Amino acid sequence: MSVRVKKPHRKYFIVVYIISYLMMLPPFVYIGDKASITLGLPTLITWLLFWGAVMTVGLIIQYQLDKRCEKAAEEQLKAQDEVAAAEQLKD
Amino acid sequence: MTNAVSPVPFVVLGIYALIIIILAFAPQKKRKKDSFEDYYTGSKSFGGFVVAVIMIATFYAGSTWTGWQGFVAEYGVFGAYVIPYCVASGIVIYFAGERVWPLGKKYGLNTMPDLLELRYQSIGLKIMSGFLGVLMDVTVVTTEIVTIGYVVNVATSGRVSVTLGAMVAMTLLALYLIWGGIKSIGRVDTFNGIFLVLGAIFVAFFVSYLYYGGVSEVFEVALRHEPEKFTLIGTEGYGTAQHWFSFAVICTMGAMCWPEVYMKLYVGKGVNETRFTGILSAAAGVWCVFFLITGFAAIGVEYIGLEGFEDPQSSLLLMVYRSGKLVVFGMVAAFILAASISTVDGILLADAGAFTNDVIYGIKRLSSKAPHIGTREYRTSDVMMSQKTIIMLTRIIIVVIATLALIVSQMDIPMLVFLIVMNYQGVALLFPILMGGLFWKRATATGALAGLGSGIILTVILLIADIEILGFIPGIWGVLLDIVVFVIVSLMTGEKNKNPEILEDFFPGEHMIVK
Repeated sequence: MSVRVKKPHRKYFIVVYIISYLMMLPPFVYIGDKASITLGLPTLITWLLFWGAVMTVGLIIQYQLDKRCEKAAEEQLKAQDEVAAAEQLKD
Repeated sequence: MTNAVSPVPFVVLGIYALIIIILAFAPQKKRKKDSFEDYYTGSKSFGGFVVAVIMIATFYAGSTWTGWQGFVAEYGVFGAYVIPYCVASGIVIYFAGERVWPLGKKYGLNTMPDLLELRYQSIGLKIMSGFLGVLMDVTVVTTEIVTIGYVVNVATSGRVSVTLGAMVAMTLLALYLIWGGIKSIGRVDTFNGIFLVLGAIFVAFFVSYLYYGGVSEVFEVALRHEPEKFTLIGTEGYGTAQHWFSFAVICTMGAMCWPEVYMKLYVGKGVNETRFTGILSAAAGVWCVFFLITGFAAIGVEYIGLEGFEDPQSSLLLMVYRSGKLVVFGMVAAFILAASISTVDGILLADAGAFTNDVIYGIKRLSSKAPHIGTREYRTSDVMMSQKTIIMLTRIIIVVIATLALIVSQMDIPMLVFLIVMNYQGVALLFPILMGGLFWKRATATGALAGLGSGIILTVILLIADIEILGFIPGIWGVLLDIVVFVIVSLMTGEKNKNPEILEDFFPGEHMIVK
């Protein structure tokens, strides 16, 4: 018996990770490349920390959603098993 | 200096050493004697928190607070390239780990070359990748030995020489690795990991408030006097787009390919433990800001009326030392030592195991044309080397690598960061064939061998000739050639996999749960 675990959210998260990573690489990293202080830290470090935090929080949310999808699939599999067992008994 | 004769830092280090000894040599329950899998990966039984913490402890070496600290003091914000690469490598660990762990469990895999052999059905590729990983790692051990020796020397006010300090620490390390393998590492590095994470936060605030009156003041002083260290463009010699791109990308690719990092993907008791490790590794990228703070604190000391540093790599220890707070100094020395020890123990075990399992045993299997991992013949074939022999060899190689690294550490070593980035360029060459194997069905063994081989050759040539084409470091060109050759040759050869059931395990359909 098998069941497909659908994780439609994943592609959106992957897009977020790619965009965030690109924001930390040239040429986009130069947006934050200023000789100044923002929120108490060098602007570039604040820029990098912001995108790093976006990626990390994204990963935490994705982890929760992944687990939820897998749990739903396992329950579906369990239900399939029970139906099959009931049918076997009937026979 | 009154500090010069004080035994306080030495006592603090002694207490730390005692804790490590107790944790390392604690009696082990459920020990499977004569099982390499148990010795090397703890039979894949560790909880998520432990795996994540020991991963961080392994990843962040003691040289982070010496070499990287000095690098930030010298090159300013350029040192922040650690943020993109550490966060991104956490994401790579998440996605790769959830594919790697089930394969490791099913086929009893212990190392990355094991996985490559299973995927590509090639022992030659296994030997090549195993050797490359170990070779690159040995130099990292060397840099860490220097850090250990240096910290002990400074903490004991020079009474224990750098060499003696390093020798004592390496002997202790080798002994507990021989005794308990990954299980000793699990206990020691969980403690070390928590200690170093909290220690880094503490020391950043301690130095900032003591000398500057606050964290933002650290940056304000540096900005007033050395504004060029606040921009990439201003960083002399290093502020090019090509260098930033090279450092961030090469390190992102290389991070997961270190034998000691990759082996942690197998030690968890399930996929969720591996995913959690990825999350915590990404979060640790944000935590890196604390050693950037201490790095910037070293930039400004001369402008607040204090003496500058001859060697920026020793700036953090000297800043704390000069404060006269000897207990704090001892604790900072201990947490740097914790970072070094937790990296070196992971590397020694990973490399010794990989060298035995992938290189020595691999050569033996290749010469006798043994069947590949995952095949029916492999499961029923004669064992050419018993588990007991593999463990014994691993233990011997731990001692050999430790001794060799100690000898090399006596030589003149350039700035630690440059040495480690050089190693990253080598180990990153494994990234394309690993990811190709995990995520690309058409990848072939010939493609992987050709890609890796050409990448190694080009990187070595460019490194030796000291050429940076278009301003990118050699590793970038090596990886690029690796990818191009790997893809083209894989598409051209299109070998039919002799074991389609193995390929099915690598690509089980879209996230399928099969009962």
